[in-house]
Amino acid sequence: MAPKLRFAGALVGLVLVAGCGGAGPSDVEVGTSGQLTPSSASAFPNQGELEQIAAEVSKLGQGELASLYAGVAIDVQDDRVDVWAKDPTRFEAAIDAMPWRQRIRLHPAAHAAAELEPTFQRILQDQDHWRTQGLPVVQSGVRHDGSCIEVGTPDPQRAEREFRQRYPGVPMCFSAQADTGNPWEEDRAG
Amino acid sequence: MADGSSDSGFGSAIAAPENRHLEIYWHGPVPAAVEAVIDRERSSVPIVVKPARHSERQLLHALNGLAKRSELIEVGPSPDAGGLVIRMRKGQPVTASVRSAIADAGVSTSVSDAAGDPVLFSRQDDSSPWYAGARNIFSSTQPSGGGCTTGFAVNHGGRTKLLSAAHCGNDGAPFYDGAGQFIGYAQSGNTGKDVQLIDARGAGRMWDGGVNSTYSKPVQGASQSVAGNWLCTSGSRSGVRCGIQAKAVNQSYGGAYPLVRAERTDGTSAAGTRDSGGPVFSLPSPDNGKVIAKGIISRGDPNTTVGCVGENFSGRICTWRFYYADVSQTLVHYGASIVTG
Repeated sequence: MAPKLRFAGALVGLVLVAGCGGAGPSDVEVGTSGQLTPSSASAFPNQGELEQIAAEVSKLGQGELASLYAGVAIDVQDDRVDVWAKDPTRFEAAIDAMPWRQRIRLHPAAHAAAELEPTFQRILQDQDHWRTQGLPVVQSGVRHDGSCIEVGTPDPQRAEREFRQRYPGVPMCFSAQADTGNPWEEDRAG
Repeated sequence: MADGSSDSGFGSAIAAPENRHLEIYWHGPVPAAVEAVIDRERSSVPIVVKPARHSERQLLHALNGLAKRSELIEVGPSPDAGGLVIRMRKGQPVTASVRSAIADAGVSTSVSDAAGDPVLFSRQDDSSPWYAGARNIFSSTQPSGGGCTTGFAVNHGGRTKLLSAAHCGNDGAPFYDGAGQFIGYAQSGNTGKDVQLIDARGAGRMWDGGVNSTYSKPVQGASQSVAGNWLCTSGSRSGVRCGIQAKAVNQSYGGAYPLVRAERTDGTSAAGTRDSGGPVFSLPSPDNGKVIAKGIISRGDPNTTVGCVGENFSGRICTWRFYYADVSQTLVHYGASIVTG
């Protein structure tokens, strides 16, 4: 048998085996919506690697580099891990020997996470206080670029005034967030 | 190439004359030597190479374990090497033993009855050991009376349990599947983190596809979320939704902390009412037919309401931005580990 025929013969044999299975995954989809997870959802073969690098950077950033480290994000399209740090030059020197150094994109940050985190934790503890003041904190978090603590509340103008009094000297970014509760707070069981 | 050697990524081949080309499904990177053979053959046969979720070897290994079961009338690889297609013998009940064997197959599976109808167990009518992404309701007699979605199975306290969202029910509340079969009782709920456990036997698998899907995938493991992650959700009322990106971690929202903020980037629904508690996941690369657990669907941002997909019952609210509990942080909280399949 010529090489081509051998090749084709092997393939046809496999087709017969495969064909016994009946419908393929794309054919068994009977839902009224949604699709089987498309292969494009895994079109980023680097996502797992970048996650691991981000985890290592984060570990360093919460340890010996805590005074510089602001946060991290991954960019699968560019195959890079974005890292925000105060004094990027010092941060760069600290990670220069890492095997993944070439995949790091450093950005300057105004503040280290360690500088913003204590106030963020205070805001979390103060949530009942703000609710009794008629100023509920619907959303909050430390931005991973180290620029500010985000505060989402129904009255951002009032919040800006009162938060700056209670937490002076801490950068905050305010946005309007309706206090409508969880729209998915289904009928509770029990 | 297709000789079944232990390291071959060959998945399957489809020679459909009406398409005027030969399709080869390959798992993982195609070796240079194989590419050379394909290039040589292309001079006489048009060949299209596509990614396969599994290699033929993986599928046949899983098939061998199941083919011995008398309850199954047919077990075979799907044409695209995406998983195993399984049909039950007529009149055979789906015993726990059969279900465990399928759950342990380690590859994607689609199960139907002898007539090919997907009525045996599904996202809407699951059975023990329970999969992530299944419909759960709060009353065995009132299916419309509320409900959520089952989360990933975890090892906790010496047995398997299911993750869920704390806002789905108080500790001690019973959960049932979409057909009214008892799943288990809620326990160890933490409303501050919006996570809880359901004391029920779970399997390391997740329902994939639409709201009535009979197709499931094994869980490969769990990993922590980071801003920039590309993700999918698998709520029981929306079905699988992908094209979702994590935007920020360690967020406080609506009184729960820490949560991950995620958005469907095309502005359509990421999840909706009664998807709560369900899986947030990513896919390994290369796609091996498994999923990586990333989180537990918690709450939508009402400022981002859009039209729903999947079920669209009165009062259902869907959003393109939502928040979820990171699965790694949740595992640490409970001292648990993810159940893999």
